[in-house]
Amino acid sequence: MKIENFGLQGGLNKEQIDYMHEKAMWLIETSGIQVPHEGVLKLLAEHDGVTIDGDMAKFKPELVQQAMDAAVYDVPDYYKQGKWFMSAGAHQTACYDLETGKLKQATSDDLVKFIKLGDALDTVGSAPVVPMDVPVHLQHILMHKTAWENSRYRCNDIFEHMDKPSYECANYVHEMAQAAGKRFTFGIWMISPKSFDAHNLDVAYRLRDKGIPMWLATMPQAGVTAPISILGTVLQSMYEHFAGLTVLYLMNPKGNNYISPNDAFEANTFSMKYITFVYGSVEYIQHSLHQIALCKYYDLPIIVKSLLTSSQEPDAHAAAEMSIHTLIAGLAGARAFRCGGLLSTGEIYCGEWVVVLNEILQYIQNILKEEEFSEERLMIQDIIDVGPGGTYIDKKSTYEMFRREYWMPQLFEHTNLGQWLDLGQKTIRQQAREMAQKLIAEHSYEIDKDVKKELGKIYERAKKDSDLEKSLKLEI
Amino acid sequence: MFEELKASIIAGDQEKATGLTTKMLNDGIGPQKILKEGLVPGMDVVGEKFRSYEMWLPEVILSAKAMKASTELLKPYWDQNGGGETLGKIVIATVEGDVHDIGKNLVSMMLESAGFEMTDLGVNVKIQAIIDAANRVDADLIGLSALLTTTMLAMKSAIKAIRGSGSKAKVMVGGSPITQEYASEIESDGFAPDALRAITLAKKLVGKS
Repeated sequence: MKIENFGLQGGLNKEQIDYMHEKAMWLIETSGIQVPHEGVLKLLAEHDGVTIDGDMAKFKPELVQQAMDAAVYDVPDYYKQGKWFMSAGAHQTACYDLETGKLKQATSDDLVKFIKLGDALDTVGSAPVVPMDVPVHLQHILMHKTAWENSRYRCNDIFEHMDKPSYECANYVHEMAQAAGKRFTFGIWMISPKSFDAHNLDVAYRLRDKGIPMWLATMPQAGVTAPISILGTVLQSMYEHFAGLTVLYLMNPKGNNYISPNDAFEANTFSMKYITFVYGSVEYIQHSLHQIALCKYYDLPIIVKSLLTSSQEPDAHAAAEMSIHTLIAGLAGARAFRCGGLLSTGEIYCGEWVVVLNEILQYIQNILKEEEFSEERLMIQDIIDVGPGGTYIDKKSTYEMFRREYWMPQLFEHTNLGQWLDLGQKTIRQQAREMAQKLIAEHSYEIDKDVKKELGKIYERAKKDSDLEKSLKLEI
Repeated sequence: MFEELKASIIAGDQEKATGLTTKMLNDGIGPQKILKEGLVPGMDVVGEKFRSYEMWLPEVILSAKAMKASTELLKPYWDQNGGGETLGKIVIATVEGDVHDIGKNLVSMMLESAGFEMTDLGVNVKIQAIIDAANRVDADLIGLSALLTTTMLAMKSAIKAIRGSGSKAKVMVGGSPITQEYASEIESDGFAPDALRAITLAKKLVGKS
């Protein structure tokens, strides 16, 4: 018998989500969304349940429901097994240098290091940084290539959300994915309120006959591109997600179309004081709880953006926000956490911070771990056996259990002052940096040599492709 | 009455600000005097309070709207009374490939409130269109905005093209992924991390700080 799992009570209930669902459907049917693409509008117009009014598309609830029912969320085994994991990184252009600790622009060398570090810690997700030392038309191709060459999970399951900024770029990444036997998807980011980026939509339109899985995401900002209340923003998020998914469902019938779990029902908070996105705030954490409730309601994979902070440094501010956010999300049932390594609302990537977060995740995971309730664990016989003033230190049970009974941190050590002085008075950041460097140096995973060679050939071809270069070059 | 007008701008009370402006014009007060002694001092206070984080975005936007509505009332009087000079002419745009406009709109609104004449070209704007607009209005400054890491790189080509076109306009850049380091690297004339600092920068670049 186990003691009852720790959990969180409260939040949106079924009746409330039923009501929000009904309102989202009503908004889609009556207000619709803007589809700034003639070809897509034409495709949509061919279907029953669609009303086109100028560039606005409105959908009947039954059709939206069909799109939602058709979506397949092919989660990886580690998610099915309920393992705790971190998604670490999402296209940062700046990073803290792992040697000097100084802020700088990310390079292709940083990309390799951070991917190896992430893989050593079993993290998943997208490529952590954008290599700013290579031309723009090659950046996203190199991010995929490097991720696939040096990691097992990265850019390879439903928890990735990598951009492919042009059709030509998407084709190269698709070709590489096929050569490497890796996952390829294309994502649509809606532009709140109620619209799409025409270019992004055009790439999806051109890819529509290839049977490619396509995902949809939106990021309405409370008070700016969505109503000021978090609940209102969540409702708009539902409305945009469902309507956008319906567009994909009708446009890309040969592929699986789904809501990206990475940003499912995202409702961003916004600082009117500093005019910035805000993550890790009180309200954003409340939003995460709504998000978890909605994912449970719609049976979507749960991954919470609890590892993101406004703090510019890996400091107490960052640690407090991420720990509280992750603990609360964990209590609400989340086991997957994203944006590991990101600081300053995603402007900076920090490798040593991934190491610290790994420790924080283990810390929280161990608080919430399952525990047996039994006669043996109450250890009644041991209590009887020890006489007054005696000790349990030499007990067989102590010897057998002491290593597994207590979680032993690697970073948050339990030293006393003298021991800490003796060990060099190192800060957590120093220790984490050393650990990161060691993990990178010892990282051994590498994709099959022939596959690597093939990826290299494709990349070399991409380098010389003037159409690819033009696809991301401004016309002057 | 000037103090009252100034207070109405600070409070973001558009109705009161336009009412007072109309009354002053009807009383024969010159538009330049209304602008310089009522509206601009009000917006200066708003700017200061925004910079010191006492006033927040929605409050500043209300003030900017009150300022704009009042300034509109002055325009018909400028020709006959002189005045109406601006701090400078700015062409602003979100670069090609990028459709995000919240930051750019805010900067545009704040610069207009501060006394610049704005030409806002919108989002996803080709470099040539920016250069053409800058030449057409004889711009002192060009403001480029980008939100995406892919489009921020377009700024480099944009600046090169602007310089190559012979335009005299200086170029200021901004947007979420932009840093001072990047702004210097692409040889822009300046970078501002937010809308208020964009005003300070713009004034400096046109020599009116």
